[in-house]
Amino acid sequence: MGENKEAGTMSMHDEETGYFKRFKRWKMIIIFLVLALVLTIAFAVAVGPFQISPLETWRIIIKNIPFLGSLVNDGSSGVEEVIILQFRLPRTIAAMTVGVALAVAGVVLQGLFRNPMAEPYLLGISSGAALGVAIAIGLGIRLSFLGILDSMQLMAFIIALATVFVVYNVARTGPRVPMLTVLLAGIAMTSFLSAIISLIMITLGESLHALIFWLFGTFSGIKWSDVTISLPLITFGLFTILVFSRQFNIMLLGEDEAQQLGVDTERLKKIMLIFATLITATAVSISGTIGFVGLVIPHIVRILVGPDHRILIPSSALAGAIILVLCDTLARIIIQPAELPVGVLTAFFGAPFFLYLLRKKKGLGMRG
Amino acid sequence: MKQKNVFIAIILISIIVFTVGITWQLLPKTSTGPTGPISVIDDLGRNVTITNYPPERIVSLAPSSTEILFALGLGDKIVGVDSYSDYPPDAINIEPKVGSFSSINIETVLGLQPDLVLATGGIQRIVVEALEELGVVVVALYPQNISAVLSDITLVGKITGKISEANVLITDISERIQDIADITQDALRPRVYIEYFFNGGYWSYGSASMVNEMIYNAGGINVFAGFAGDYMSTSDEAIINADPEVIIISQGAMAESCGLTIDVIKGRMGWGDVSAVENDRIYEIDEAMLVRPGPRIVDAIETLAYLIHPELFS
Repeated sequence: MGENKEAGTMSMHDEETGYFKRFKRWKMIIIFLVLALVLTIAFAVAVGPFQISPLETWRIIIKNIPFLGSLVNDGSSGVEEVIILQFRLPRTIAAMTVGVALAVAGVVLQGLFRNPMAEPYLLGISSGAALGVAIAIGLGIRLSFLGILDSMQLMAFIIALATVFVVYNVARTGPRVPMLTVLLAGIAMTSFLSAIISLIMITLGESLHALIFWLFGTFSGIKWSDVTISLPLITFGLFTILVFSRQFNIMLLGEDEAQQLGVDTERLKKIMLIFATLITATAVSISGTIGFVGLVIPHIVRILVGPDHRILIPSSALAGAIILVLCDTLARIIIQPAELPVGVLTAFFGAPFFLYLLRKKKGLGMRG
Repeated sequence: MKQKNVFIAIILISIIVFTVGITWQLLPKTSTGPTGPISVIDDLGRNVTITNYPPERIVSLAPSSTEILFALGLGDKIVGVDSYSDYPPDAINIEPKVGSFSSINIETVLGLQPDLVLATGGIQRIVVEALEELGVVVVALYPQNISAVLSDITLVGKITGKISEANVLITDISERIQDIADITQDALRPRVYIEYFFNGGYWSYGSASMVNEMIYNAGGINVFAGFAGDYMSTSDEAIINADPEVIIISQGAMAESCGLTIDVIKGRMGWGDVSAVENDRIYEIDEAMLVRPGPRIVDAIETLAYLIHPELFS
């Protein structure tokens, strides 16, 4: 927080009491959302085709937390323990992480492009990441970086970043990067990348329907190894974005004014773009392309908490996590023992809701 | 009362007329083969007239149809096949290939000037419509269960002038299926899980699939018989919960693409307590044999029966 002192000047115009009132309100919002997230997770890990009572579920989880573990008696729980600790828990955490990533990427991109329709898709980020994964799966390319990143994550990030690089440089005129051309270049790149993905899928032939399932977005088969890669990457991306959220606020008031206040807007745009790309690519590489979370969550949250990014970003992150954990839980249990791709559910709920929002309130609280 | 009698009489007469009609259709007239065009209704409910009967130039767009044609002794009449047709081995040498199962090259098919094209429903429905519009004689085979496969063999026999061959074939298949049923009828039905791919979940078959029916005919029960669809993506948890006593890998291109092997299944976390893993009852079956709705379904049922009930076969 300390390195964004220049943004603090904004608050000085506020009345002292107004500032504290707002801060108190923000605190309440965050506490409420964190509680809701904890409850959602508690629900998510307690349901599934294998019947385990909620009490037993939590006994198993607490048993495996260091220090707290000694507080509960050690009953016998072989399969139950594996199911909760190795399947449900990593999966729930993955859904949470991806929800955070998509919602935050949505907020950042909508701000950057001053366009309420902006989301990871429009820039080609999702398609770039999806192409990376399609190449990794389809062509069997095995790449790893220092043994840390799996080939899927690495390919996703490389191609998503390359996509953003192309879009950014095509769109750029002189030192400035007009957002309209970025958007158009993004749409063109998305079509191009989708064409390559289709080509790979046609060549693949028989493994086609599994890849289609994956393209819809799914958390099936998530293991701890997927989470241990994505969680630190997304956390890192989220905190970097949070650190720059004050400068981001100022930039959104007007780029000239922001520059006069000492904000390097072009550098800020690049940073925000790179980190939004990083978290999106990481999310896509573990779950496929899950639509509408990046679009709908920021809108709802903006209506509820207002346009200030210092509260909008953390609230959207939490709301994204809650919604995606809920959707994935539904996807797991709605047609059990089979599973639905979670992307089908987010689109099913998200698209009509978004249309409703568009119809009801065309501005959606966004300027520009 | 009187009215009821009349009603019953009408039903009886209808049944008799219907039976005689069917018998008439199947008897001498057709077994010697008509010389003129014949009409049939295919699996998409289309009324198709085979104008050049019996057809001399046949194109097969699916490996299952290719297998049926070869089984009826029509291998030398095939002038083009899809690229997945690889059984019997002679099918591999047939040129040209008219595209893959999911993307058929209509121009190539048209260029072969076939008297008959055997297509499927589903993904090939659009190909069927396109060829029909171009005046090509297309019959779609789209069986959804074992008895429909048998009727399709009869149908192919009928439109190619191989009625008696078809009858011999389906009699043989039916008898072998019945033999397996007789052998396994008193045995308990073990819970069987068949996996063919894992990526985005573990892929298996639900109750709408023919594989589900084949497991039952082999004296087992599909662990996911309670799921209404045909294909399904499922989870570790659901499989551990279902506790299969026999696990069978459907070994084909998809299983190969994800590296699905017996050792992979044994090594899965949390699967150690699954009965099939505990008792080392994990096997493989040839996917082409298992999923192609052709004459080899009976081989698949026999193989499944040996794997599920080794104690009944020596």
